[in-house]
Amino acid sequence: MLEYLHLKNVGPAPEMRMELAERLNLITGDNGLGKSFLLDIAWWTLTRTWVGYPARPNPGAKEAASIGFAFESKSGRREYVSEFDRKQQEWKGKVGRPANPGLVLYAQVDGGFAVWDPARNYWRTVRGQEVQDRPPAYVFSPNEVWDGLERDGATLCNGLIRDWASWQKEKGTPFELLKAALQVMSPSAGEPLVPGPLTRISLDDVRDMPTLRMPYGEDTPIVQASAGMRRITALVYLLVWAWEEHQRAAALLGQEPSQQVIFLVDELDTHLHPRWQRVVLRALLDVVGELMTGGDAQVQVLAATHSPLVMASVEPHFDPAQDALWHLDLADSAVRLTQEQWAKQGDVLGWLVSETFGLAQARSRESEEAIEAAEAFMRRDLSALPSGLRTRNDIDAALARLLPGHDPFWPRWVVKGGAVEGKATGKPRKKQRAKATPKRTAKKATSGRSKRR
Amino acid sequence: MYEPVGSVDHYLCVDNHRALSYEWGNYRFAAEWLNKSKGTADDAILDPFEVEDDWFEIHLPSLQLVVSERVPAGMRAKAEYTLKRLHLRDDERVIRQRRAWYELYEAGDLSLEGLTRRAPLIAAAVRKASGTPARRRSRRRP
Repeated sequence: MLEYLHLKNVGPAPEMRMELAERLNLITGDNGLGKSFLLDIAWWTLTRTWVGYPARPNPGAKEAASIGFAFESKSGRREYVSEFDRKQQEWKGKVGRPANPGLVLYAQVDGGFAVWDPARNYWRTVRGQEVQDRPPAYVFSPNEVWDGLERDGATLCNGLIRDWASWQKEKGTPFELLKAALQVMSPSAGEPLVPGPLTRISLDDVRDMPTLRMPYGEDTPIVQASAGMRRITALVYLLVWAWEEHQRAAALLGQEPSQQVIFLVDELDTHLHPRWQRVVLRALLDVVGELMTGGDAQVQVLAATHSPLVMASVEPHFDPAQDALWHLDLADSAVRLTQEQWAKQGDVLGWLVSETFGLAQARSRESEEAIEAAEAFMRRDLSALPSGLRTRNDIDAALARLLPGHDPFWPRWVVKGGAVEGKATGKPRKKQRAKATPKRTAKKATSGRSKRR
Repeated sequence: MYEPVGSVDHYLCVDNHRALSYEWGNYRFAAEWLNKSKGTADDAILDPFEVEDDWFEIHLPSLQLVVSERVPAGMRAKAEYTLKRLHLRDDERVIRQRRAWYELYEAGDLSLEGLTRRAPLIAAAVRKASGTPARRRSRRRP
């Protein structure tokens, strides 16, 4: 379990500290503030490998750049501060065998995937010497997830297409796990993700092609399914593959499977229809926590998201004692990472206008401007009116152009009888007069009362 | 504001006032999301205990919450900031519920007395608009 990250002079802020929650860590924030960067760093601290370009110290920084971290390893708590060695142009690490954080999985935003398996990527002892002659980690490009991973002539992974097909023919536990995981990941009970029969898609490709049963009854070759379905199935496949291979390797080595899984997911919601966004996080937790590891392993998740629906979907399950919500934002032109206090917002709209996403309204910018103008007009805050929306008639016309008739804003703008309330630069309509009278009375009463007080 | 769930939270937050974490006098009943919006703003926000019933009023029909003329002059800026920081003026999260209460009243499904219990500031605005000073009179009684 990753306990903390402490970055100095590397990444978007001069200093950043993240004390992670032991189960779920949700990372939110605008584009370009470092969500993916944090996941890359987390991956590196756990595995000593980079999935993309290595992080570089900030060029302007005078002091040394460092990455500090601590995690719970198989042999106890490990804490380390790695400084950047300018001469060697790399991050300094301890010599010899690093700590073993358990199984680490990283789903990247582009569909790439990385696996660090303690049974297969870890150092081993040969004649009393500790050597690292195994691959440092399995890093898949998006295509390699599908077609297989080869390094130096050796096949490290057959890829989704071949493995799925052979699992389906074997009818063994991997296929059962795959089917169960697809079931859990289905957006609703009415639309289950079910494997169809194997097929061929081309004269030039002799591979048996897995298919998915579509709601409209056809079987679609998996490579031709929608981007969202491909993202979900690739994720499910890699989880099943990583867990199956890990179990086999552990059995070969005479070890127990890892009791610790750390799962990094970047932009969980990518390509997913709202129905899917609503279930994906909980489903992933179920697949990793229940199906794969049987509920025995400790599973820690770091997930970045832009989706208010993912946030709303997690409300029933979020437990502040073991989960945390993180937010990256700009404060005084510096990036700041803060742990947000947890509070239910109720629904997507509530999340969109909350501090986490920070929108003023969940509408188009044009509608928002017109409504803000109408609100300012109604409370007589005429200085807040933008040009072009300075009179009641202009605002009214803009609202009529922008809002649908059933918009819940209308009842607050239109009083009974269709007249527009308020009095400012525009001439009050005649119908309006009667409405305005009690207001003046009320005002008189107000001043009278305040004298009495 | 009608709050059937709510939570007990710190007025002066733990980040700034660790010594007050377990101090009863620092606890307030609050909607969780409002407390989250308060964050570390502490006494830059009005203390619910110091707010008088008529410091804020609902504007009809816009249903916006505004600072009334009866806020003491020295408190006005703080009251304005409270509205802004806690998104109480016209954020969708508060407006939706105000609208729902007002609609129930207008449809006749909720009496003015019922509205007074559930959404007292909307009821006060209705009374003000119709010139019924019922609440005021009852309040001046000894």
